Amino acid sequence: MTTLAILHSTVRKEEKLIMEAARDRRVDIELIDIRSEVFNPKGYAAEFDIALERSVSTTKGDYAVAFLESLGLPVVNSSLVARNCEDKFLTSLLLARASVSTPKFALVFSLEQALQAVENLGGFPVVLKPPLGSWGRLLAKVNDPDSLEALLEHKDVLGTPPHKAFYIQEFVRKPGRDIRVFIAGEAVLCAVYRESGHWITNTARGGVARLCPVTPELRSICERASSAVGGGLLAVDIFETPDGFSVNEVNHTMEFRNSEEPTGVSISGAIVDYCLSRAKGNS
Amino acid sequence: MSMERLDTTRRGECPVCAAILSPAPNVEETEILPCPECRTMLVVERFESGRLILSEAPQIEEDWGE
Repeated sequence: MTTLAILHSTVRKEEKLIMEAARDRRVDIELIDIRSEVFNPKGYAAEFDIALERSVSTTKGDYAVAFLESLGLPVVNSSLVARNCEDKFLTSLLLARASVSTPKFALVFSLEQALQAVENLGGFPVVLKPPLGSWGRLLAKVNDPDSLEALLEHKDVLGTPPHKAFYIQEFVRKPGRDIRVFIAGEAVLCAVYRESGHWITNTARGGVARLCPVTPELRSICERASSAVGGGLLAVDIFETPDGFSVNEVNHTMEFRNSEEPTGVSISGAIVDYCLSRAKGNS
Repeated sequence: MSMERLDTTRRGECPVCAAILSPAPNVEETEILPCPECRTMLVVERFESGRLILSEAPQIEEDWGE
């Protein structure tokens, strides 16, 4: 019987759904609270066939995955994919290099360069994002140079070093929604519209999920986005623009609690099935 | 673990206001629960002799997310 290790910190509804799907498939589960582990390669006993990284803390998850990979153990998603997805600048670079449509972006370290970048992006408004971050936190829609100056000064004075790298993205006027597409390896599982009156549409921020049909065009851009970041268990966030779909971000420890019901797709089940396909002896 | 998980009678005490919580039977260790009385976010530390040991949940950190 296959043993699936779930690397976790705080257990969310998603992890419970994954556990339930694993139990339904009669898969043994080993819950590993990574906050309680000692990651010393000398004598570390790993008694599982595949590990699924589901830590709510990106930093802790990264170290846990790097450690297990160093022992030659299979982990989903890989440290490479995690790195490519967790840093928005890296994601944008990879999408651009693969010619996947994505909003215009730039990264700068000072106000003078930020003003120049905004001009290159087509002018205000723009969106200022921490390169590392999630759930729509600390995103700022910046409408004019005065606001930009104030925000950057605050980040410079109050921020930790990662906040002094300024990722700037063109502001995309969305039709009150964006699209999230769930992917497991080669399979595009399903998609939801995330609807919100606010320009930040994350369901973590109150956006509502509704079924979105997966058209061939949507499938194609998602497959290319997934391939650009290395593939795996991914959620691709997409804007609808007059010029077609545009990939905003790719998430590597996706939250999906609000998306199984509107799509009728067991995303948790697909996650477990994908892990089983990658387990020792099956990959 | 599975026997513990299926125990539907477990209760825990809120460490802030002493309210008694009776969460859903499929509650898991490390899960976050709101206290129904004082609204403090609590974390399930462990199961002990059929009881839930609760403490105040960790604050959301900068690198939390998906």
